[in-house]
Amino acid sequence: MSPDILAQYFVSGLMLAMIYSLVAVGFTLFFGVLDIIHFAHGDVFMVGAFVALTSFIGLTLAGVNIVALQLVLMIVVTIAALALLGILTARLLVLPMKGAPALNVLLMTMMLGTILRESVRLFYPEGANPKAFPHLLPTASVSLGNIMVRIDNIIMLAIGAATIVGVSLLINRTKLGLAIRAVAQDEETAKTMGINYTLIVLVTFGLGSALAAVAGVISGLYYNEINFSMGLMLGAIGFSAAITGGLGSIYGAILGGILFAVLQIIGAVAMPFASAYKDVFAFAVVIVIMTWRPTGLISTLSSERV
Amino acid sequence: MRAPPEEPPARKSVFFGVGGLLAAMLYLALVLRVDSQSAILGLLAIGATGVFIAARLDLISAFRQSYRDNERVMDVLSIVAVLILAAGFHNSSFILFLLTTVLINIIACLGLNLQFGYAGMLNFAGAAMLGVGGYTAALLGQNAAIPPILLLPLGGLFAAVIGSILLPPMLRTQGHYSAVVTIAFNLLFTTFLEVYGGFGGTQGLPVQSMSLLGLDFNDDWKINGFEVAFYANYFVLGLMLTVIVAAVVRRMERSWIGLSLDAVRLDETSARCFGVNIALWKAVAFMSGNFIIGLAGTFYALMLGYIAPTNFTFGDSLILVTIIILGGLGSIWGVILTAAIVIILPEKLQAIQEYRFLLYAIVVTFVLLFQPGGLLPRAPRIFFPGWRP
Amino acid sequence: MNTGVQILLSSRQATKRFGGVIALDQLNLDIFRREFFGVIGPNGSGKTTLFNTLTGIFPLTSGSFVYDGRDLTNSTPQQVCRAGIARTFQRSRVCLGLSVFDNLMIGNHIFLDHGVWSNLINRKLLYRQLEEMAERARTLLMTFDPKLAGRMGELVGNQPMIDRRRIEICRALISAPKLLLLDEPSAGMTQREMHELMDNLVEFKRRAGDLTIVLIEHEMKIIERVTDRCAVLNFGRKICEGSYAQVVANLEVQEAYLGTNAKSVLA
Repeated sequence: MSPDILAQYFVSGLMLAMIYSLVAVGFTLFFGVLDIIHFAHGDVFMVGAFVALTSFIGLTLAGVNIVALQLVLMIVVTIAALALLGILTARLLVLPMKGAPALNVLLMTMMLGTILRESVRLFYPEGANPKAFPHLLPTASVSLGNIMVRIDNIIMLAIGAATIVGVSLLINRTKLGLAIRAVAQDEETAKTMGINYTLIVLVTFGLGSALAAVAGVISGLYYNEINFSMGLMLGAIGFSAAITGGLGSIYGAILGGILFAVLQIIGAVAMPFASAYKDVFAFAVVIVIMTWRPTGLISTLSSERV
Repeated sequence: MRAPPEEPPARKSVFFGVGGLLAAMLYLALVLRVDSQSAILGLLAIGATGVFIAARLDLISAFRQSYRDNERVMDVLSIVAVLILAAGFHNSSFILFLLTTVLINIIACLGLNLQFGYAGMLNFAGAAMLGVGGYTAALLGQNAAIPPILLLPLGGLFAAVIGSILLPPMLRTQGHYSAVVTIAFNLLFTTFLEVYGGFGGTQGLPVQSMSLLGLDFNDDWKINGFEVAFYANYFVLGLMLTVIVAAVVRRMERSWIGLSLDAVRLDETSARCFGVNIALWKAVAFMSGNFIIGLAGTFYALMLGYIAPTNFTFGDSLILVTIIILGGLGSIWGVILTAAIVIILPEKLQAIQEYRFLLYAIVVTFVLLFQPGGLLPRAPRIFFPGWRP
Repeated sequence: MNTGVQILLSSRQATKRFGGVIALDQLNLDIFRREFFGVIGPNGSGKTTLFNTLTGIFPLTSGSFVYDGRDLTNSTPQQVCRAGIARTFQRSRVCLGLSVFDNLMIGNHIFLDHGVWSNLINRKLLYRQLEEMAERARTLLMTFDPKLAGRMGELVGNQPMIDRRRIEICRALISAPKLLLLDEPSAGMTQREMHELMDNLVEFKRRAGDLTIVLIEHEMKIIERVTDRCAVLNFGRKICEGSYAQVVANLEVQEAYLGTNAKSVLA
């Protein structure tokens, strides 16, 4: 295989890994803090992509024509919108169902996902059809040694990496992050230590959704196309990644995201005649991993009191 | 030395059960008969009000108790009532097809309930198991040597066998983790079918029609000028299958087997300490559940005459799960009632056809928030009607 | 010293580590057949861990359990059950959504017929089994509370705490075990209720003949009243063993519970 093609696979693998990790970290944050699997998270990601597109259209109509400005504003609007969506979800749906059987909460988040998905399909103009996402980043390529790399890919990877690093720093180095980790470890103790539980939950949901926003924008910029059902598959992948990495661990989520991307790339490379099998392959491996390590690769779950 | 037994509550008269059954059948007949959208909406409003009032007057619990106290009679009457209802629509292919689809969903959900409601195994790959049954019908049905009636248990068997791939992860994981495994499997399943050309790819495969003892099910009946749409054949067979599956599932629940499943679901740790082989019972629930779902899938394919991967997506699995949760986990009558609502309503409210997933989701959300036990929550176990320990 | 008495259960250097925490520290214990043995100690001293490792919920890190002459170390909970050991749990683990009878029958699991024939097809056979089991359950419950015996069809969730404890104990006893492990049955009950329960238990043990009971308790009065001998655990180690009077007089025990000057509290 020529270095060029190898490089292409490498870059697309990195892009996938990053998008998956961003979504997976969200899943793991929600689980850590509230012990729930937020099945709608993938669809939140999809909404993010659509919000980004809509804000772009709005900005263009409003006469904003400088690309850099469009990009920045688009990201800001999407993050804000999704953070708000996350907070509302937590406030109106998740927190009230605290104490309900886990299955009910699981189902409720699945229903929320359906609501988001169907709402976009039904109410967004021509929502059922895929929509073109604008090329906002320079498409020129630059040469690194023997291989050509596209500038837009580099920028997106940089944004994604910065976001992940930023979140990691936030969780591990700030007081807020400490509060989040405290609540994730032991809710009761955290409360008695004076941590405002509700606030932390809302912040966590806002944060996780904001990550999905970044993932949504990047995904739109990378594939130049979005559609209403992209959240379902991505949600399943992000969820699988978070779980195989080990729910509750940020590094696990990142690891899981990378792993899933790697599996897909391997699948695509190994079976170039039917690269669609890559998903089959990746999910099959996930099932095998779950059999081998039922609580994920990096297990952080505490055991039940007997 | 026997303790003085406490006075059992008085047996609820069969009158309540019969009354409720009649009301339900009449209502259903009206809903099916009427076509204008405004009439349907009107009926829905009346229905909702009626249910609300009945709940206020404690009629619903009276109705349920009457059913339990007079079980044999009510079971037979219910079957007869459904037959009469269907007979009333003997001319309508559409209605008979619709009713049979309800039956198929009931069968599938009864199987899913074995896993979910009794053994506590979260299975979001129900549609995939339906698919296995369906594709069995398509592929094996091409072989003329196999009588179509045999395709049904064969479809179930294949579903059980292929589903057993999931046993190692399902046995080792719990809760959300089991959910991931099954979701991954369903996605894997549909993707595979779409990509692998040998099973028809995205276009799917035709399926031969059901025939029994030389009678082709796809022939209309014409007896002395009395016409019956051919779907009646499927309906009758479907009803028989539903009754058999419901009887088996109910007996399972009302036995030491059902008790073991409950023990597994409610508290694995203490169950282990009393000698319960968790893996064995989960396997039993999972495989027999998949068998039933596969059987339903085969029957569905035979009736439809056609199957494709789009029939068996994760979204369809979600609908099955919705039915059992909305109905009340582990509740047989809950499944029956909710399957009817979930299948029939969108067909009658054509205006909302497009919106039906959205509406399901909203309704389920409300139910989960405010009535998490479901519409007809599972009643405490009675090993035999009238028997008290 | 009674030379004719056999040792039913012994733990030899039983050690259990959870990560950095040592829950059991080379614990050596002998329990004689047919005795009523108490296990006491401050919170976190390893009492419940002893039960959990013995019943196979967690494996021992090292050491062994010998039961009735056989090595029981690292058996599965199911194997432990079949050996004739039954237990209750510190946190009440009865199935609230099931009836009293159903709960007892879960305890009877290994004696139930799970064959397809009787369960699904020959229902008359199942009926006979049900009647037989109901009678057995009723007899058992009668020794604890005749009124409860008349409520076997009711949901456990509707019963008061003391009855839930009784049900949990009966669930453990229905399989006629040789060894009964009780983990803090007094939690959630008044003194009078506990008194009653213990009276029932002692009476049951007397009638049963070949039953050994190990009781974890915080309530000293109970230990004093019903146990033949007891052992005191602290930080996973046994610090004293003997009759209640002997144990209470032991200085190390007093220190373990309260630092110094504990006599007044333990008297």
